[in-house]
Amino acid sequence: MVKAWLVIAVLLAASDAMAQSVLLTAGGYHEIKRFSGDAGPDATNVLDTDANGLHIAVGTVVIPHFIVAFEVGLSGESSVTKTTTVTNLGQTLNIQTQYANQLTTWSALVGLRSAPAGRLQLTYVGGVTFSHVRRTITPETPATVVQPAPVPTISTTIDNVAGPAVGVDAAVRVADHLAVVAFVRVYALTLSNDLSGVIVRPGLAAQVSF
Amino acid sequence: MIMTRALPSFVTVILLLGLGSGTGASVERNAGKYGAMFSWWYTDLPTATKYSPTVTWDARDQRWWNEIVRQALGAGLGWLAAESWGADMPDDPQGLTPLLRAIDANGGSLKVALFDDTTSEVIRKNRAKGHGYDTSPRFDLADLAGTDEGGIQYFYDQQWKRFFQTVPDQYRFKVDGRPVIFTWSGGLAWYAHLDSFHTLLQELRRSTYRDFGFDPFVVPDVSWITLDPLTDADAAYEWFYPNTHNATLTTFRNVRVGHLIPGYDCSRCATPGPIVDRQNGQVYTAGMEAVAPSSDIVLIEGFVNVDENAHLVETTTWGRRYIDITHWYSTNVP
Repeated sequence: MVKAWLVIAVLLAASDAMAQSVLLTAGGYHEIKRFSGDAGPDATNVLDTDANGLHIAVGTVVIPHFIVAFEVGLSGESSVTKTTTVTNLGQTLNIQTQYANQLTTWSALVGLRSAPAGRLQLTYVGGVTFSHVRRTITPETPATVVQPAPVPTISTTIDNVAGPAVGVDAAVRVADHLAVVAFVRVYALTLSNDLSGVIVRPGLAAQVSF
Repeated sequence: MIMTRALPSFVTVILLLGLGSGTGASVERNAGKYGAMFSWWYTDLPTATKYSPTVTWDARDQRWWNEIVRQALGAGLGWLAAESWGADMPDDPQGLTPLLRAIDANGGSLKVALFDDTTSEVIRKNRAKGHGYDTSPRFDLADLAGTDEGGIQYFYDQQWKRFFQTVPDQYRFKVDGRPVIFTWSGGLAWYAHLDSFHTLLQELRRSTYRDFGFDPFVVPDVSWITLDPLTDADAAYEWFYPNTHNATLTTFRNVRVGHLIPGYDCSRCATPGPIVDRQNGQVYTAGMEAVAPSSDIVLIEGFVNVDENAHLVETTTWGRRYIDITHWYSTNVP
């Protein structure tokens, strides 16, 4: 892993001298998170949520058909509310808990660009993504189970993990230095031994080259 | 070109940020936050057991210990609270060596806390003083020397010291670097001079430091603190009471300790007691939802409590359901 980072860092540093073109990209995506493993006592996988996010990237063509890029993905928070129904002393209680998560990614990617086919140019990318995952859990009705009612506490878990990323860009040139890019990124995310998933981000962006 | 110069800096930031995980816990633990009560007095399945475990229930057999630890790890537990009854009792902490072997055989990660069942000090004192196996007369907390109806040795020499002599450092569950000791209820009917609990605890801490070089992280049942507000505890929990308090959450000195049961059925106990219907796991799940997210430590009663049908282990009735539920929370509510 460290070697891979070093190689990418060297390539990025070297790109300054060798660059033939710089690509600036900004757009939005829809994020789909799907995690493996136990769906839980009520078959709810609380991390399987969708969100929208902001995609920002900067890349440079190092040699013809070969680019290096750095991308940032800033996703919005997404959540599910779990409801557990239990009967206690003849009374039916609904216990609600909100499970929210938010993902921020930084990716170092290398890519191969195909030869332009008319206005269309495809770029296939792969690399390493550093993910910052913020999970918060808010018990909404503990007082129905726990007496006296505790002070409401929001539980927060932060995971900083690295994993592989792949993707493809389909850039359609609309002007000399401007393209519209349809892209998709796929990230593997492992939060613990028992909690891993796949993040898929299809999106649309504008790309300026100079 | 300015942007391309900036690129290496971004990468440097990523490299420097580092990888890892963290929770908003107000304490540091050396294991996961979920732990469960553990007893080892079994030679056979008690007659009170209504839901039979799938494993042959005999703690004289190392295979029982190995399987219990395997299931505990499968549930995502970080530690077991060894419900100790002290010297020369069925749950003598000196009898925990098979647990250590089982931990080693299962990867060595599971930790052990001492759970001092404070019924036992009263009974051991009365047995030693010729009163028989009884909770009467009361244990005098003010009598540290043991000249009358008390004695520090029943807590320390026969319990705490025995535990730490048996369970080496690498197996101990620690909070903020200090081995954890839970104590059960401050039995109002079993103890005299209840306002002297703090002096007893001071002496226990002093003795532990003298012999082992650390100050334990002491988590008594909150009743001790109610009875003696001078009690110098590090945290506190509140033991369940069937149906009215199936789950509890106690905050003391900014440490939050959750406690809950999956169910309870003492209908076949020697003295028949209450029943908390498990509702196919809903009681346990509701308790987890209520206390787990807010807790720094979650003490579950109990992993092997077949005596009161409060067990989590795999049974012929519910299979691995309670192991799976616990595992889900240990994964998703770390």
